[in-house]
Amino acid sequence: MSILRSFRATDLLKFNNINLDIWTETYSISFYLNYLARWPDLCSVQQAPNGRLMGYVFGKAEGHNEEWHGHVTALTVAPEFRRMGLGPKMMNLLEYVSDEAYQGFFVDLYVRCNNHVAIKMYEGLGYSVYRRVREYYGSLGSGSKDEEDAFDMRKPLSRDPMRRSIRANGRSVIVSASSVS
Amino acid sequence: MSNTLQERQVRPIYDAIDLGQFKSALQTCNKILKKQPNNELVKTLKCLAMVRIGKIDEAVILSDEILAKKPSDELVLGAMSNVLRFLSRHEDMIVMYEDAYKKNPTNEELGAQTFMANVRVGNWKAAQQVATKMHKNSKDDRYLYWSIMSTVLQASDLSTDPAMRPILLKLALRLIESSGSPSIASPDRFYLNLTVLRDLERYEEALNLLEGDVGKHLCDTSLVLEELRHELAMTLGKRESELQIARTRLTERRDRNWLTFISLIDCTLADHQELEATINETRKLITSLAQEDGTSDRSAALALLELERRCREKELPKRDIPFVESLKSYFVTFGDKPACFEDLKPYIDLQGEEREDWTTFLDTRDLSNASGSISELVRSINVFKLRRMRLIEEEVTVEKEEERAEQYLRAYLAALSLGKGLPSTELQPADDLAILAASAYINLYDLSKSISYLNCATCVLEYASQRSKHAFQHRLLLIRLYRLVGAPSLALEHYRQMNIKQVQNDTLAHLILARCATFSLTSNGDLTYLQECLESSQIYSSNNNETADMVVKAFQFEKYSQIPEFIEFEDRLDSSVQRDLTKIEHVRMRLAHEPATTETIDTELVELKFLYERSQFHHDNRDFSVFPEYQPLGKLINTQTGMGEVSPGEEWLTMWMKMYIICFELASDLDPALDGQAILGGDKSKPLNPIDKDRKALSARLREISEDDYKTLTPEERRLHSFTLALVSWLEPYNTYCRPPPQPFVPGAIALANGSANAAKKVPKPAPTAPSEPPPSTNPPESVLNYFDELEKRFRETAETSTALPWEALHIATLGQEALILYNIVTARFRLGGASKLKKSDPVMQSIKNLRTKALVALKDIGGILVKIGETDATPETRKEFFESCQSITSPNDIDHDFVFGVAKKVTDARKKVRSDIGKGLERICKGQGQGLVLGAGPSTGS
Ligand SMILES: CC(C)(COP(=O)(O)OP(=O)(O)OC[C@H]1O[C@@H](n2cnc3c(N)ncnc32)[C@H](O)[C@@H]1OP(=O)(O)O)[C@@H](O)C(=O)NCCC(=O)NCCS
Repeated sequence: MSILRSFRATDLLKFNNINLDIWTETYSISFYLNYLARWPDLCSVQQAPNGRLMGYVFGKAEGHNEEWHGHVTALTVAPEFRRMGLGPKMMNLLEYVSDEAYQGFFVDLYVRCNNHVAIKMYEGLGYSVYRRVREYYGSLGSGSKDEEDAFDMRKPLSRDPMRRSIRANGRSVIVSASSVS
Repeated sequence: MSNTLQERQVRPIYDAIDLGQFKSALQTCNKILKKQPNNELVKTLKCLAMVRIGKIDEAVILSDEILAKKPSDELVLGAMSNVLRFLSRHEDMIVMYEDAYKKNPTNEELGAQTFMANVRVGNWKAAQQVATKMHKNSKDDRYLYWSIMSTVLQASDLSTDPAMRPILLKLALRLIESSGSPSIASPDRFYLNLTVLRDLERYEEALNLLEGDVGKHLCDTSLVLEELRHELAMTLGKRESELQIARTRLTERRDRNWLTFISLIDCTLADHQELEATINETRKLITSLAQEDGTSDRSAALALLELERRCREKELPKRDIPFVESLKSYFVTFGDKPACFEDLKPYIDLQGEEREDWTTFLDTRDLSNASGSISELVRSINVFKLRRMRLIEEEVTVEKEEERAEQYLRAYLAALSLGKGLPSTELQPADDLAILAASAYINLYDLSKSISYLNCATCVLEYASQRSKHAFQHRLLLIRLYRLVGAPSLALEHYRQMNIKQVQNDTLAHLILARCATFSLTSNGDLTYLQECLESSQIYSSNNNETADMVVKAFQFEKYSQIPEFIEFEDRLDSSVQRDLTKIEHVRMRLAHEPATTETIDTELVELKFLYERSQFHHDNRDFSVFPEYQPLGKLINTQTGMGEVSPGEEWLTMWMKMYIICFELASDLDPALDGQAILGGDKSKPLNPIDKDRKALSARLREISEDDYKTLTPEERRLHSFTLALVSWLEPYNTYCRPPPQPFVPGAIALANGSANAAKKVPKPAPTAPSEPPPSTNPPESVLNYFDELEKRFRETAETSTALPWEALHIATLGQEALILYNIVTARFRLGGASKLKKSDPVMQSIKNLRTKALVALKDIGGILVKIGETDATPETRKEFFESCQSITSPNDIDHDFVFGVAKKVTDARKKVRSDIGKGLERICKGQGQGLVLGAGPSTGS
């Protein structure tokens, strides 16, 4: 039960129930608007019938040649609307647009290694770990490695029928943050 | 000079600037300039370096010099545009690029820069002309679309004459049609084309475009286009086909977008011929979808409720299955989802038998296994919330509410076991039960006015907040409670823990900044809140810089659908109510910190007038929807926990702006005829053309009080307001007599503050009208005479009343302090340095002096009392008292003795601190600010 629509700039004024969350970063205005100015079709929001925002996704398309792909920059659902399949729905849309409109080879994303809920969801959607990136994130305060390291997870799209964009042993491929961004 | 030589020369300067080493950049520039005083690029880089280290005055002079030479070198232009952006001299930037482009009309880059410079300030007409010229020269369709978008934006701009609108839109359409390639080649050009057609009300054409093959495909991957398609189809009354589309989407494509359901329902109910049959069919469809989806998706089940609700509204014949049965079955299926409560909320406003049926259903839910599993827990939480919503007046008594509070709390503590193993980053599944318990305690306070309930709520929330470190709703309520009980430093701590950043500063700063002058210790040199105001206001300058850049970017990437949205966003932040609320609090607190020099007064006066004129375009972005609202009988926790009955908003702001402007005007030598419009007039980047031309003069508008505005003040604020107004009208005739001829307004510092260097250059200067004879002496009005005595009386009463909340006495004390500060400002002209033309022996002069003495006596007393209360605040007795008030929630295994004592200590310590500091501050102000206005510091000191 949700309205799925494109993200609008003014939604930034209403997203507090989603963003007051430890896993969700609040970025500068230009960060969000830059995405909307370039890949508006990869940025969508789910809204409850009463107008409340429930979750959103921000994505982009990037890379060269066989690396051309859709990227999930932020995916988040407000706590009270979790576990109702909203996250997967937004991912489906993003994958569909990455495939149909951008003809990317795969979709990828970064996730904190200790964000088990998210990792499990991504795996359920067909993503697998491509590599582990050291100290990709800032600390959340616990001081554990898992929280600062990221998994780079990928899922091949129809343009990659041979599934060349993923690999089996991704969890043991470790790279430094400076080598990916 | 050869290019390579030049490059070798300036490279180090660029590098230094990139690294933020502006001083070193400046030195390098100076060295080169010694030998080559006419090197324009180095001069410009020097200017940039000066801007960055804050040598603004010199930079302005140098930049004027560079601009006067009409630069055309691209490097000079690039560096100069940085300088001008930093100085917010957008108009100069336009002129600079225009000149350069004129010299070099085939240079596309210059054209683009000129276009963007206009875009940045919303000069759509000029932007359109530049884009048209670029298109002529290059034949690139991109520039054609730039000009089309600019035309459309000009049409929708507030400053455009409505009669021009259709003409501009038709022009835009002609331009689209003139393009070599059809708009459909790109989704955003296509979107622009469609919106133009829509705005011209040529719906049929627009829809035809969308229903072609390519159009269909685009709708498929673009939600924006699909929304537009549906909107057009509905406007054209294509009910039948939309109904069919919705059905297909729901069945064949398993679309579960709520908008699709709404479309299905709308189209169904709009059938006027076979309404009943269509409803039945739709009902059948949705029912089968709901069955098919089971628990995997709740849209269909909820759509069923929506359909029934709408049918009931229209008083259509009832269905065989009663409505309440649908509610029940929804609950049975989705009761273990946290959103179930919110889902059902719009549907449970029931009467009579249905109500009873629903109530019985809720009352007979078995909650005994609430802590057995997460599903059962969520189910119980939903039951509790739903029950709470349907309580009737008789059930909301102190006794019953206490029972409920204890029930929620017990359930909470028991259910904590379900989250035992969770990492600290996770939320506790039982969190909402703590919120419910706190809600009940807060409601109990509302019913009984006994503060002990607030202490209970505080302890429960603190406890829950420790168990679930990242749950924000506990903190929200704690912030509110700590302000009520006079422990603002604890509120601030929780606020900081919430990590409010960026745009959230606009939507959430109200949590901590609403009426924050009540707790401000600026009088003691503690600038925490002043700092908080400044920091949270940074988002507005970010908005001015970043959003305009992003509009530019959207043009570059041709994402036309985004541009109007960005502009709306920019405007909503720029004219945000919170922005000006923060400003007013800042002024109030600032004056308690620094002596009000004529310069401060003039600056603030001009800025407040500017803000006041602009305030007619206010947007209120404050977010109150984050509060957990589970109170019965339509009560809101947001209101129950606010300081004052009405949270300060637009109306409140209007009252304060007017009050301060009126007071400042008396102290300022600036020309009072200078209204905000004159100040705004010079700032073309903010066109305010829609201001109604035959509006009353500013001075008349300032003195009008609207009932709605007035109602938002607390009783004590109302008294301050009447006091200042009576004071001003008593003194005005003498002030007119005494004041020097009006001074023209010199922009300088003020213009920078407003982001415009050339504001208000031409200010009309009326003839001085000072009467030659002093007006006859009158006594101050009673309300002025007795104000401070009565203030003290009220303060004493409030401080002694046990049902008054601690913030209330602080409110009276700090408003009294504010009254004194305003009094000092308003009477400065008469009291200081012989500047007054009235004789010392004039009875008016005597009254002014006596009144001040009275004020000082009263406020010193209040300060003394506060310090004294403070001393008794943080003692074993007060902690014990707090502890005892929380006995009902204390238990050995969870919220235990030590925990409650810990909270008691924190609260009483914080309260002691703020009370005695405000008390001391008051004493300080009575002594220190006895000087009042410090004359001679400002540029406009009377002579
Ligand atoms: C990750 C996230 C987007 C998932 O969204 P969602 O709409 O809840 O997704 P789902 O409804 O499919 O739930 C995903 C699964 O997570 C698990 N899960 C979710 N919340 C859980 C909780 N509190 N405890 C245990 N498991 C949980 C469940 O396995 C669930 O599937 P199930 O209910 O079918 O068993 C959401 O949890 C979220 O916003 N988290 C915070 C932001 C974030 O971490 N984003 C990802 C950064 S890359």
